Amino acid sequence: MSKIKILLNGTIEQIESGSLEKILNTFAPKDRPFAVEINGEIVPSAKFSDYSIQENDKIEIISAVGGG
Amino acid sequence: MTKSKSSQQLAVDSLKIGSQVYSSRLIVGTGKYPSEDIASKAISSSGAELVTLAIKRFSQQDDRSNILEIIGGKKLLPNTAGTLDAKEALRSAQLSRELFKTDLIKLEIISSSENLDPNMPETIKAAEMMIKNNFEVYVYCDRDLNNCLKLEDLGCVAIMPLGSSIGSGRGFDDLNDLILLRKKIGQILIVDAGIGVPSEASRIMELGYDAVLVNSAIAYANEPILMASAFKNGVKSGRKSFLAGRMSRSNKSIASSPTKFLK
Repeated sequence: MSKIKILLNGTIEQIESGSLEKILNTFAPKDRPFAVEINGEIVPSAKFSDYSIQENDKIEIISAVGGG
Repeated sequence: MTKSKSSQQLAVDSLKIGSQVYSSRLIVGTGKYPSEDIASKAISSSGAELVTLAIKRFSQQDDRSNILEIIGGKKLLPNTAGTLDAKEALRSAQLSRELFKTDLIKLEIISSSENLDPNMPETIKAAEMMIKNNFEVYVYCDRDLNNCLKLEDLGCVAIMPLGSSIGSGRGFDDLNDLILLRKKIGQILIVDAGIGVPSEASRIMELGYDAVLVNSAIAYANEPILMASAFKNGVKSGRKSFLAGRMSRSNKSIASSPTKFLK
């Protein structure tokens, strides 16, 4: 399978092209909720399996931290 | 014996903010604690029902536990911490809505990463955008009356002026500003930032503020769990005092006992 370049949480990653769900299986947390934004748009969790990642996509995986 | 008006008020003294009703008037932050265990126990000890938290890029190198487990079953008030303009703040709020499944948001736009005082033009712009997007906005703001009135008019559910700089523990830089705000603002008023000790929380509650938001004063105390409990009591005490109504001040002494011996 061909590799593509993406920007994941500000870091360049070379990944196999495929669905967002596949990428999240590698890079997203297993023990807590998270939200995903791609190219500035929030992707609802119901669409993870249908969403196909493209070359140069900017992906943000966000989770909760303590704060005031 | 019939109950006094203030006793009756106290019996049903819940705090309604937007769509939510709380029995505690202390809101606590969840950052900066020396350990996760202390954070969990202090948050519990505070009696707070609403807690603030933040969002961040997830890192697999980060070994911190899930903050949601540390918090327990409290209601969540995600903040927009670290944002510098209205566009970033709205993006943060939308990510929080997706992540936490809540419409509540603490709008907080700082001036710079060194100056944490609110950027008011951007805060006002963001409040308008968020309200149009059906968020319930708890807004961190300065003590300027016109700014606070503007935020009230826009429909923010809570106006939250800073007592003094975030994390400073200085208390109130200008109590007169805060007194004036209470006289002029009909919406929920909460002091956010700067409170250092429970007596300051009590003082602001005595002045009729609806709640206080505290993080550093608890997290940085020598004994955070004990301090959280002290804040719980301080806020309750101040609220009771407000409902009870203070005596009037006098320029001269007024005797509580007979002023002439045996007469």
